Parts: sequence; structure tokens; C-alpha cells
Amino acid sequence: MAEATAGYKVIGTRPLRPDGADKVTGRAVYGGDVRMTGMLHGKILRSPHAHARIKSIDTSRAEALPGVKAVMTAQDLPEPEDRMAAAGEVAVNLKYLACNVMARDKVLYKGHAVAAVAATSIHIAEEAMGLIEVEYEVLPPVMDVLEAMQDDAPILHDDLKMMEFGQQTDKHGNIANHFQFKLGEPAEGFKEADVIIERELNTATVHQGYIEPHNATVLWNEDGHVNIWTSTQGQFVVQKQTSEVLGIPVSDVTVTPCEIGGGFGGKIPVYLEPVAAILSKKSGKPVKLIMSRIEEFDATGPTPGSNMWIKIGAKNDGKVVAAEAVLKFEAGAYPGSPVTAAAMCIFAPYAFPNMQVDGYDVVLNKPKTAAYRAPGATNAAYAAETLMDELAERLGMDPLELRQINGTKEGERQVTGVAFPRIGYMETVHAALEHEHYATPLTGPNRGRGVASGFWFNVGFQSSVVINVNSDGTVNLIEGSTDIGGTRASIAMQAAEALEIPYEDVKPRVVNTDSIGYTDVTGGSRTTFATGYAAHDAALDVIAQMKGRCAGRWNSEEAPVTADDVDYSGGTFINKKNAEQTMSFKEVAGTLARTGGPLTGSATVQPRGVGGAFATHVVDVEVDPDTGKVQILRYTATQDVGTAIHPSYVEGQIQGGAVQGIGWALNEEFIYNDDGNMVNASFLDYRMPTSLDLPMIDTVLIEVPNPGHPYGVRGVGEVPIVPPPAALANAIYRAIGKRMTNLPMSPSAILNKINNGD
Amino acid sequence: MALVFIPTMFQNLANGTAQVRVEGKTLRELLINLDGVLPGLREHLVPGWEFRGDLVVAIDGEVAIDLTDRVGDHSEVHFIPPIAGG
Amino acid sequence: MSQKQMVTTTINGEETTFICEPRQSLLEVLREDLGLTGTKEGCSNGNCGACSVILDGVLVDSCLVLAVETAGRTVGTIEGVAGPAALHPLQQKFLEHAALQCGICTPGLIISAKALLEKNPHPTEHEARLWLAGNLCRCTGYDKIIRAVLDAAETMGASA
Repeated sequence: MAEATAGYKVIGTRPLRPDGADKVTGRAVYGGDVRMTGMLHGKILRSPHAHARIKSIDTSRAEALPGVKAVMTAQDLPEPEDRMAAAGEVAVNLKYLACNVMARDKVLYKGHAVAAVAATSIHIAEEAMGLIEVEYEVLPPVMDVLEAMQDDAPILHDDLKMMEFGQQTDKHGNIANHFQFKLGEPAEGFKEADVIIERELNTATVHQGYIEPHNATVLWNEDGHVNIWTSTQGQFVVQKQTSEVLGIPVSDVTVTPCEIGGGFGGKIPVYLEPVAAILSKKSGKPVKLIMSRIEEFDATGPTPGSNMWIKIGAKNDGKVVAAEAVLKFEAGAYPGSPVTAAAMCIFAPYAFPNMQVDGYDVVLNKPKTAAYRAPGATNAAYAAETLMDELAERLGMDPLELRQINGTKEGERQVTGVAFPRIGYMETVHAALEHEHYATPLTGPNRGRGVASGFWFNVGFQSSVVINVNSDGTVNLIEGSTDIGGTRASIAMQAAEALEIPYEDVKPRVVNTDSIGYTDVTGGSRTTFATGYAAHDAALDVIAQMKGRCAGRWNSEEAPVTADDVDYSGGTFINKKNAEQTMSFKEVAGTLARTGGPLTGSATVQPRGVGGAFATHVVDVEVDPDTGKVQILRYTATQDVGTAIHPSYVEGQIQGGAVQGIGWALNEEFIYNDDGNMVNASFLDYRMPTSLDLPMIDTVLIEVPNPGHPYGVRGVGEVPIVPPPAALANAIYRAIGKRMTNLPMSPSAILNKINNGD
Repeated sequence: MALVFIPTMFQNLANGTAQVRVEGKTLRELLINLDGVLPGLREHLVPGWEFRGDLVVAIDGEVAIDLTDRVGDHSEVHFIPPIAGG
Repeated sequence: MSQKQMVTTTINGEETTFICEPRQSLLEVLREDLGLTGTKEGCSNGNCGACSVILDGVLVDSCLVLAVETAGRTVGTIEGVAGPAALHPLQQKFLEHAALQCGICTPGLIISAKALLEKNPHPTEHEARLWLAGNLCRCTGYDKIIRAVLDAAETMGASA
């Protein structure tokens, strides 16, 4: 096993995860594995049209099919209010959320839910769907962000008025929001430039691609309580969203999180829970809904396609004097793309003196977008990092050197005006420059090397932890963060470090909404940071109480001892006034009943000092000039990771995120026909990377401890997906001599560029 | 006095002011005083004394949780969109 | 509705009899009727490998096999991989190398890797990547998975 990081006993080691044996034997219970007595199977009927009015729905023939126990439509849900509701990390409009779960008057994308059925078998449910008659008035769809912004575009919402520069206007159309950030005076700045480069780039819609489909099993009890079992990134946000859509109190809903087979942001919104709940209420039985892979593509939130215009001006010495961008993002059927985050990330690695970014949030007839790992930032980096590469070439400068000249540091201002705290961007550039990969010349035809940087904020938000001390000196750590990637281990390690007991003595348990205080989602790169923080604080609470127990034991009239007189170090409590009086953690644990009873420590946090994350990636490619296929020869990712609690899982986040970025760059896209139907809705044609497409991914973990966390933790999970598309675009440029300005850079796109493009 | 940064989008409502120094030991106090210095602006930024869904207040780079949050003598106050991850 | 059929097969070395409709896939019967939920459903059209099982010694996607086709044959699932009191070396190496994050692809990958090592006990990195290309993983980027498989091969070779 690995050595601990200097100054720590547990942090930096690589122990086995506590849920490991269950997961490698197939015993772990994921949402799809849940079984209940009398359970029915549900299916959702979905619109075949990308844009249509619903004239009528007749479910009578489906209801009459033997084996069908319940049928529902939006009429079974309360009329949603047009107001904001908590839905995950930010508030969403309740009407949009409820209508996305089940369409009311209009369907806004192919796959939009229209009705649902629960039956004694999945096959009967599927047959029943064919018996539901829906009359549609088909409308023309709009499938492209620029087209959707035109005055004559088909309009999705009767009541959507544009928010412009922070104020509501009366402009009715598909543009939900137009905002702008500005720092300094770009117009003046560009006048000082020796070199100005300007480009337009486009990215396609891509999906998070988690292997486990969405699922929900719901029992609406006779006593009115709604019990939900689901694979989710956040049981508390499922609880909140479901209660809002159903129009019932939050306290009437219990959500038990099952193990989850991937999320990446896509398993934060609810799709199935309210539907299953109504079917359960109507049938009196538990109802399970699982999405098929086609439904995942047709009807769950992908990340936006986008159109981006960008302009950067610099002096001959490499100092950028001004930068401007206009970002137009597809929100899908309802407003709320991550275009604001994209606008805040696009120039984040750089201390440019003058910046302006305009953003447009645009609706169109595709599924409502959901978060996907650093949402918005990958699109933005594709634009900015391509241009920085072009600038370096124009100035005759090494691209990493250009980044060193312009790189941001603590105290420098972002485009919002906020100054950065302690960050580690320059360290990532330095690490890339010094890496053996970068020092190794790349030779051979059709080969090229590219670099790119990226940024993501990470978030803090709320977490709760309870630690119960067992009589044998082990502890149960009760937490509410679903474990998507090894966080039971990283949280237990922080508790073990604070308690100064072995990692194996901390038993983490992920529990339901009844059993632990509010905890925000496993996402946003917050879990090891915030729930770890809570675990640390709960551990300190345990130690403080144990000091009191020791004091109680040692106290006498002749030699009084209070908790303040007790020290704790290396597993041993010691009376500072009489060093002969000591007790081990195990001994205190073994005598709790005699010193006051059970001992429970707890903590809730809403931490500040989050700390953003930076990454710089280097990639070598070879392009086949006959097929356009890109082979990745070598990949190195450097990242400022704060303190790596469990280095294997930090490496894993970097490798996994980088590979998602590689898929986004080279192959993944939603392909639509003229009717607005996705024609490649399977893993065969929505082409994600396989083991054969990749080499090993080398990672460099740079530890610039985050001063805002007791162990210096910085979120690591999201930023790795940000640089890859740009790094690959820059490598491909050096291989074929032409700039790819559209994602994905698939073989046919590259061939087309080689043969026809400039 | 804390330094309040007016978002560029709202500067036209503040006579073009980009930054202004405002007294206040808590966020509520500061916003009340901001109203005195730039009348009407606060209602756009924190309408009805509730944080907007699309705008949060950051004090020294940290998102404010509540109007009772403390503001230091040399604090910077920004109005920025909320962040969510995936 | 079609007549249900009685099927007798051997699953993880145990003779098993079940009743199913001809249209039900092996994946569905394993999970829904036999309680063997370790085999996972990711796409149901043979493109992700999460449902990998071994049928008469051959690696297959159980979503593409009809349950009735297993009559008189042998099926190996993830539930049969570990020993009575110990994990299989592949399982142990997956844990040591942190070759799983969400774990949903892990049963399918372990079955696939087991089939690989039974056929080719000393694969090169390329051979391992080629064989496992039918198992999609979205979390790990495959790096640690390949390392775990190659390490398991070495361990199993050493003790052979």
C-alpha cells in the first residue's frame, strides 16, 4: 500500500474501498436491482414528434388490457405553478420541471413523456403503450440554435419572454436570456493589439453516457407516504423535486438512494419518480420504471450544442490585450443551459486586462439539457484554447509559454470581477512544460502534439455527517453522499485521519433522507471536499466528547480534571496535569456505558473556501489521411488537486473525465433528421470511447493545498473533461495543417477538412 | 467601507457607475446604504429582499447565504450568477 | 400471449429450472426470475457489454440470447466468479487498482476478462484492450482496468 502524504497517517494512502467486495461480486444493489412484493413494471409513452400540440389522449383501450393496473397522464399531476423551486444545485422553474416530467399541452421534443402505464409484466406494459391513442397537431420543429434565434423560427413557448441584461423584456421568442460580462474596455484594448485572431466554432449535442439507465421504484403507501428507491446523485434533491411536482409536503417523501451506475450530472433532475408515484397511488402497488437506452438519448438531458464566436488580440511579446466572445447555447426544450458558467470559465485561466463575453440561452426542440461534468466549460475551452494555440503559432511562440505569459494567479480578476483566491493554474502549465512527454520530440508523418488548459469552479453546498462510536473502538460514519466513484473511502479516510484511528475502523454508510441531515448532491466536485469537511468536524466532535469522558473518569476532588486538561494524540488521551493517566481510543469506546452512555458526534457544514480547479493537458495524435481516423498516441493530464486524499480515485477522476472529453472531441454527437428525430440513439452509433481507442492516460497530481479545507482538499472530478477537445483540435492541426472548428472531429469531418476545407 | 462592483449589465441603471464604496456591517445594511447611494438599483439586484434565482451575492469571493452575512471594512461585493456542477 | 416454456440449464455449476416466455432474453430471466441481478442491463441491444455472461465457454451478451436457448447448456455469471471465501484474483486486482468507480460495468468486465485469461493467459496490453473493447466503461477511461487485468494475469500465471 502507498505511503501516506507527508504530515498525514491515512491521507495519501490507497486503501480498498469499503463497498468494493459487493461491487466486484455483483451483489451491490443498484436501482434496477430493487425488488418488492407485488411490484409492477411501468413504461412511459413518448411523443414521436419533435414539436406538436396534444389534442387528446385516450387511454381506455390500454386500461382494459389484462395485466394493466394503472395508467396516468399529466392530468393526474397538479397544475404546476410558474415559480422557482429548488431542484438540485440551483433553482428551476417548477412549471418547466413538471411539464418535462409529463407533457401538458405541447410536446417539445421527440421522446417527451405523454402518458404512462403500470402492468404485471414489462411486456404487457409495452403492449399497453401501443393501445394509448394520442392525437397530435404536428408543428414544425427547430433544431439549430442559430435558426431558433431567428424572428421567423417556430416558437416553443407561448409565454417565454427574453431576460436581457438582467431585466425582463417583452420580447417573445426562443431566446430566454441574453447577458454580458465585461472587465475593462475591450474596444480600447484591441487598438493596442499587434495580432488579432477571430473565429467561429460549433459543438454538437452530447450525452453523459452513464452505462446505467435512469430508474425509480416507488411505493405510495396507504398512509399517504411516498417511498422512493432510485439511483441518484442526490436523494435530497429527488425528495424536493418529487414533492414539488406531486404537490405534497417534503416530509411525506422518503428517498432511499441505491448504488448508482454513473451520473456526471445527468442523474440530478427527476424524470421517473413522480410518474412512478402516481402509478403506485392508482394501483396500490410498488411500481418500477427503468429507461431504455433509446429513452436515455431521446428524453434525458444532454449537454448543449453551441455556436461560439471568439476574438483575441495580443502584442508581439505575447501579452493578450483584449478578448471577446459571444456564446449561443442550446437549452433544449426549456430554458436553463449552462451558458453563464461557460461565460465565466472561457477566459478563466488567463489574467487578460480587457474581456467581454455575451451569452445567449436559447430553447429548441431537443430534450431539456442537464448538467454534464463542468457544464458549459468544455464548449468554452474548445473556443478559447483553439485561439490561444493559433495566437502562439502566429507569434512564433511555444503554446505553453504563451500561457505562462498570460496565466492567472491569486488576486487576478475573472471576467465577473471576482478575484481568484489561492489557485494552482501556473503550476499545471509548469508541470506540463517540465514533463518527459513534452520533452520527447514527436516525429513521423501525420502526427501532431496539442496542449490546452481548463478551469472549473467546484462548489461547496451542504453536507451532514454523524459518527457513532462502537464498543470495540470502530465507528459508524453515517453520511448522505451517494458513492459514485469511491467517496465512501475518501470520506472515511478523512474521518480516520481526524480521529487518529485506522482507516479500517471507520465504517461508512450512505443512508436515506430520513436518516441523516440534508446533504446536497454527489456532483459539482463537492463530495470529498464538503462531506469530508463534515466528517472531519464530526470526528473532532467525537474527540471533544471523549475528552469529557476521560476527564469524568480522572476527575477527583484532590486533583480536578476538566476536558480542557485532556490532550489527544496518536490514538491516546492523556491528562496534561498527570501524564500517568492515559486511555486509548479503544478503551474509551469500550467503557462508554460507564462514563455517560452512547457517544455520537455530528457536524453539518456549508463550507466556504471552495477553491477552483485548473488543468493542462498534452496529447500526441496520428491522423490517418485516408480514413480521417485519429489515433491517440500519448496523453498526459496535469491538474491542481489540492490534497489528494486517495490518489487512485483522484487519478481515476482525471482519466475518466479526460476520456469523456476525448469521446466528445472525436466521435460523439446527436444526429437528427429533418423531423427532429435522433437517428443514432444507441451505443453503436453514438460512439463512446472503448478500451481499444485509448492508450494509458498519464496523470500528474499537483498538490497546492486549498486553504479553505482542513486537509487542503480541492474538488477534482469535473475539470478533467474541459481541456481534451481543444487539446485534440490543436494536435490535429499540427498533424493535418488545418484547424477543426466543429465538434466532433470525426473521421468523416477530418477527411472533409483535409480534402475541401481551409 | 466595502467596495461594491456593479455588474456591467446593470451599470446603465447606476449612472454608468462600475464600483462604489458603501458602508455596512451586514449584507442587509450594505444593501440599504446602496439604495441611498444609487436609488432603485438594489431592487433589481435583490428584488423584494430575496436573492434572485439567476444572481447571487459574493462577499470576498464567497457566495452569501443570507442577508445577515457579515461584510468587512475592506470587503469586495460582487453580483454573479450561481454555479452548478455535474 | 405465447405459451411459457420450462427450461433446464446449469448456472454457475448448479442445475436450474425456470419457466419463461420465448420472447424473454437470458438477461431478463437472470435478473427478474432467478434473482441473479449481478448481470446488468445497459442498452439491451448488444452494444455495451454490461450483460456479459459465459455460455458454454463462450463470452456473450445475455441481452442478445433468448432464455430458451440455454436449455441443456451451461451459463456462467458474475455470481459464480468468487470462491467460497475469497475473491477471484481478477476481482481482487480490480479493487487494488481502483479499476471501478461506479461499478456498473464491473461485473461484465470481470466476466469478459475471465474469458480472456482462460483463452489467453498472458495477453499483451493491446490484446487485452482489443478483447475488452466490447465492454463500455464511462467512468474510468480504462487505464486502471487494463492494469488490473494484466496484473491479475501475472498473479494467476505465477500461481499456476
